[in-house]
Amino acid sequence: MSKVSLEGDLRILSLEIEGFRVFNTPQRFTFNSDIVVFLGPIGSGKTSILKAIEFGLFGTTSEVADKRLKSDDLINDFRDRIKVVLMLVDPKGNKLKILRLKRRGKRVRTKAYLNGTPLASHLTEDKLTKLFGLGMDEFSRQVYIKWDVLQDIISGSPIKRSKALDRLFGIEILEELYAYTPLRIIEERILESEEELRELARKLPVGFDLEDFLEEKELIIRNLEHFKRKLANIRKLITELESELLKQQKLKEEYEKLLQEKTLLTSMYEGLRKDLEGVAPLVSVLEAEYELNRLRKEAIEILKILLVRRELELLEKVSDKDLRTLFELLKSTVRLLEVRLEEIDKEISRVSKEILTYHNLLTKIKSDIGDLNERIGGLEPYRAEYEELVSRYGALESIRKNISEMELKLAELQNIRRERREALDLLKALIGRLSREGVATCPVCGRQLGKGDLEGLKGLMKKVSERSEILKELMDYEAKLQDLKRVEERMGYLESKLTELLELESELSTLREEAERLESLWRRGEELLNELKMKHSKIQSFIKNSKKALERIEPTIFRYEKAKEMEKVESQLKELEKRIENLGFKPDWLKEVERKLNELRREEAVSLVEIKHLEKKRKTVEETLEKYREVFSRMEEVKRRIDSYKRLYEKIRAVKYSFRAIQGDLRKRMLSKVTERMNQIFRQLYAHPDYNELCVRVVKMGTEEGIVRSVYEIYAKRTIDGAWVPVYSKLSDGQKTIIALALLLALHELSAHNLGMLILDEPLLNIDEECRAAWVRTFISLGRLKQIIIATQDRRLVDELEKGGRVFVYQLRHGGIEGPLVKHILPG
Amino acid sequence: MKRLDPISKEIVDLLSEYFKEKEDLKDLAVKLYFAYLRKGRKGLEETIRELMENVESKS
Repeated sequence: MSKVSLEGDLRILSLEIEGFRVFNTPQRFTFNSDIVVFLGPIGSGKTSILKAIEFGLFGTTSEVADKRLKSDDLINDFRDRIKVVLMLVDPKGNKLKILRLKRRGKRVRTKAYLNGTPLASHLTEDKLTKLFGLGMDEFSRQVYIKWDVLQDIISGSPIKRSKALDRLFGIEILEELYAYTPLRIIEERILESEEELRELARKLPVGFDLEDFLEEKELIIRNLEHFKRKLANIRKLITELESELLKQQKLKEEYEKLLQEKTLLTSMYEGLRKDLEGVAPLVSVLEAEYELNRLRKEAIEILKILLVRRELELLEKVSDKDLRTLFELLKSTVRLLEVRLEEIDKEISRVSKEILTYHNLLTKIKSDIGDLNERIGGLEPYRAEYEELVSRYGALESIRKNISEMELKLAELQNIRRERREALDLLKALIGRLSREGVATCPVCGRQLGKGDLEGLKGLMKKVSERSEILKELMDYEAKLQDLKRVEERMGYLESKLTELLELESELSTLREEAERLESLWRRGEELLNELKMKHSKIQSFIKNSKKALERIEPTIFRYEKAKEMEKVESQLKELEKRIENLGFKPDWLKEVERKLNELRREEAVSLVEIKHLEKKRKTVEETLEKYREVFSRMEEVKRRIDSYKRLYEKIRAVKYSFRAIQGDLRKRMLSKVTERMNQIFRQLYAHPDYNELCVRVVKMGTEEGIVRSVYEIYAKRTIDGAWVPVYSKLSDGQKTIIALALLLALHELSAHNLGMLILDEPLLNIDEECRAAWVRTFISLGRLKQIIIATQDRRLVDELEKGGRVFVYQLRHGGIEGPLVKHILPG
Repeated sequence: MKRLDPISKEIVDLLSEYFKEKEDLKDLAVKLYFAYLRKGRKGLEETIRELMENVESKS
């Protein structure tokens, strides 16, 4: 790949055309001069040559690029392919060869060579654009000036002229952006979404409006919150008022209690006052006090005597000044003493009777004692006999013991005697038997006795009969026993007499003791009786005196008491009134609190009902929402999307209008760049003195749609009066053409591309001879232009150019299938 | 950054001035301008469809 680059102001060296538009067979054009003219009638192929240059440079034409033609339309009707070879050269002689091949239905194939070296095929178009310094759009505006462009600039509506100028300036993009910004895409999407929304809405019950529903829901929630807040406030107030009510009610209770107390005290006071009416005191309080204390002393003495401790203590304790208590105590003491007096009466009676009884008993006992003394005297001799017998025989017991012992001894002796008798009888019988029989059985031991035992038995019998002292002893004992028994009998008699004596003595002693006791009792009874009589007298006297005194004192005490009570009640009343006042209870305020509380409770009930109602409604709404939740959700989503689309729509619409809005400023900027040069060129091109200056203004214009747009308006300064005259309405077509050419040339000069040629297609229609000459002169003298390629049917222009001697002219004529007939006519 | 051609620079400057207090609109305008510059009407449509897709994905 070549690293050599081209250096500005390229011009065309040659052009080969085959199969392009009217050119069927190959044609080769050399561009041997600065000015190359293709002269020929309409349809002779002039424009096809210019289009072939465009095709050679860019591989397409503006008509194909604008989709006014298809690329296949460029192929000659009798051929199936295009071949265009374009050779360009820069001021240093570097040559660029571009080969374009296009088959029907195929894409254009390009080959490019820089000084014979091919450019990389994939970079060809970019490289070429870079080498040219402009794209096809700029080429169409700045290099290849077509008749229709000139026409657009000088004629047509202001908008059409403005569009043409915009294209020349390369700023038509703003208008295109304005025109082509496809808001309809968003509009369609909005419409689709709105239809989707309606479709979703159809899923809801008939007459159901989501927005109304949501508004209702919002309203319910707002109302619910409102009532809840209200309820909370009401409850807070209720709590406060209830607390106040409770406080007031407590105060009321206290107040009523105090009022009751007051009523009670007042009635007490009145009662006391009435009690006092008609009660006249007999003694003064001081006298009463004195009298009562005197009575107390007396009473204490009496009570001490009577040993009445309780009343005594009470009386001793009571204050001297406590007249009422003292009075009452004395009264109760009097009553007590009256009872005691009765008791003493009874006691006196009883004691008197006892004394009498004692006296009678004593008399009788004394008589009995005399009788007993007589009887005791009669029994005294027995006591002396008894004592003598005792001294002789001992005591009766001892005698009886002896008798008993003697009887036992006697019985023993009698037994011995009887046993001996029986033994003798037995021995006699045994001896007899032995004697008779020789054998006998011992009755005691059962042993068999024989005659050998007989002697022994006889000796034994002798031994038993020889003991006679036992009999003597037995007789002594019997005589003694008889004697003792006689003494015993007498002593027994004497003892009974003695017992009787002792009993009498004992009885006498008892009677004497009883007599002494009775005497003592009688004396004591006498003393007691005297004492009782004395007490009786004293108590009776005290009771009598006390009753009188108390009766006399009672009214005074009563008045004194009542007065004191009244004073106390009065003081209590005053204190009570003070307490009532200090209580701070206000019945009116309590009523007001109760009224407010009732009102608030009614409001609370209303709010609760309302909240319940709203909760129910909200529940219904939420249930409905839940039921259609998905639909709502989709609807919400679609609505959000629509809103977003609308926002986007508004943004893009704002942007769209911004393109047109900045059009004016951009136009002014572009004009500021070209106006001066345009005027210079105009003055060269225009050969007449009537106008000497041009200006292009951007003015605002209202369209039929009501939109304000900016348009170009070209003015020419009239020499005779210096007025700026609108070119479109006041100047001729020829003048307009000159002005348009001046503008185009200025623009061409100011552009920064590397193409040094200017291609003009019928540039000078309606131009007069003088101007044409001036135009040719101008063109020839334009320094920047290296090459001018003109297609024209105007022979006069060729003639004028020929005067300059640098023109190279091809003449074209209509040909047959082969294409136009081309003839090089100048230079000859 | 690719250097802008003179006219594009003028246009971007004017858009910036026009939307000097609406940065988002300026960006949108510049985006649409270059979309059209590069791909013509197709570029505009593509850009707007892309913006709509963004809207849809966000909503």
